[in-house]
Amino acid sequence: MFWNKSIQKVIIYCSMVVSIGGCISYNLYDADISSSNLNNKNISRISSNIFTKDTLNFVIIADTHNNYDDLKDAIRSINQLTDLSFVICCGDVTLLGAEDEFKWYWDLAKKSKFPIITMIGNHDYLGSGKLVFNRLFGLTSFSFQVGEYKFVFFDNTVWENNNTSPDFYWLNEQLSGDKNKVLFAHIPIWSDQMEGKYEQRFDSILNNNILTSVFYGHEHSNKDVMRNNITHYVIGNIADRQFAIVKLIGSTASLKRISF
Amino acid sequence: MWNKILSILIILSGPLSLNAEKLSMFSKNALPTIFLMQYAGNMGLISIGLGREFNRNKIETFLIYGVLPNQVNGVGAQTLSLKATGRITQSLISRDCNLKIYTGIAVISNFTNNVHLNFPDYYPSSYYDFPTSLHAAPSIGASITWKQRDYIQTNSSYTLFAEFSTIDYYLINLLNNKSMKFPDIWNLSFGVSWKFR
Repeated sequence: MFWNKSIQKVIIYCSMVVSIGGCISYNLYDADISSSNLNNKNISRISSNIFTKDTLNFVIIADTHNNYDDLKDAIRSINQLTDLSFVICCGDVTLLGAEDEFKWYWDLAKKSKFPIITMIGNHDYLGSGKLVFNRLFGLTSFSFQVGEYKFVFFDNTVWENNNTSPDFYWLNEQLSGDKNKVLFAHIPIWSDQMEGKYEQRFDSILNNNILTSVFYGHEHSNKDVMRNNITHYVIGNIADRQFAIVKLIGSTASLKRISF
Repeated sequence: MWNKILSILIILSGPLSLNAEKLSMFSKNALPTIFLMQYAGNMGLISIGLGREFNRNKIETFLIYGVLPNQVNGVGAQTLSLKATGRITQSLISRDCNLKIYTGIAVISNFTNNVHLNFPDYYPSSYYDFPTSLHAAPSIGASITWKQRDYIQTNSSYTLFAEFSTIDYYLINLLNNKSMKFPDIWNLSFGVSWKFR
């Protein structure tokens, strides 16, 4: 009798534990995540929102890593803005590329009332991060068009991508054409990962195509650099409690950094 | 002449036989007494290990090998872990059965794609100032142990256990971020162990 009661108690406690905890993890670097294609879903929201506008405002945040409180505050602050078309996160949403980190990032980022597009950063490649990114957000290099603008997201991680070359052929293809083009890449062209032949290739593509602006993350500090007759902006990390508002009018871009 | 040589050999073999005795004692104390099999808990889909207990069963140590087959979620991983647990409390449920609450820590070495203890040469030194393949995993768990009928002779028993564990880096995140909740960082694992001597 006592035995039966004990077993019952154990079963009840175990059930409680499972329901409270709820999670099973096989490995820190597992990719137990279903295909969500969040970037495409958010891009489709942008297109339907602002197709007729001739000017465009959007926000850029970068390098959120494991600064979840700062990300939460940034999203709260962005949600108070008006007349925004979308929000871009310029990569490095994790530190280790662990699937939980991607989930924690998205749990906060999805609270943005504006569509939010996430690009991959070098940290997000660690472990099976690229696979998790693919399943959660979609392709690592992608582009979309809104009105007269084409937004190109170029995955230029080298070292964490098994020391392989970024797909410059894809980039060159994407930057041809008449639209006003805005380029996003996580790693700045002058950064150590790009040094040498990749920097030269990147430079020649930028010289041969007309762009409105280029935006980066990675360096954790704000920087504006004039190069290839284009302004290259580096957006500081979220831990500095800043984000950037970009205003596009025709073929010109202006950037304003906002503290929160 | 031969007598002298024999005498020297006998004298020399004395310490050797003493060392053999010590070696035998050491191996008796160091040989594993527990076999463990675990489901989940950051070490893989399934992990198996050997261990032994110390200090009147208050402390257990294990060497555990875990595997996550590529077919499960598209990521193949293997782990090798050193784990130590310490008893917090123990109570008898019946004459042959007891419930134990324990805490533990495992040092998990991950062998999977794109994680490193030392980063490859193409990274500048100190580009990453932490290893991505090695993590400490604190845990807290409960176990129920049933002694076998012939426990007095064999000292053998069966144990079912369940535990919550996390990763060092997740604990740091919890401490640094008010927006993270305590349950966010814990995951659950189950297992059985057999004490066989």
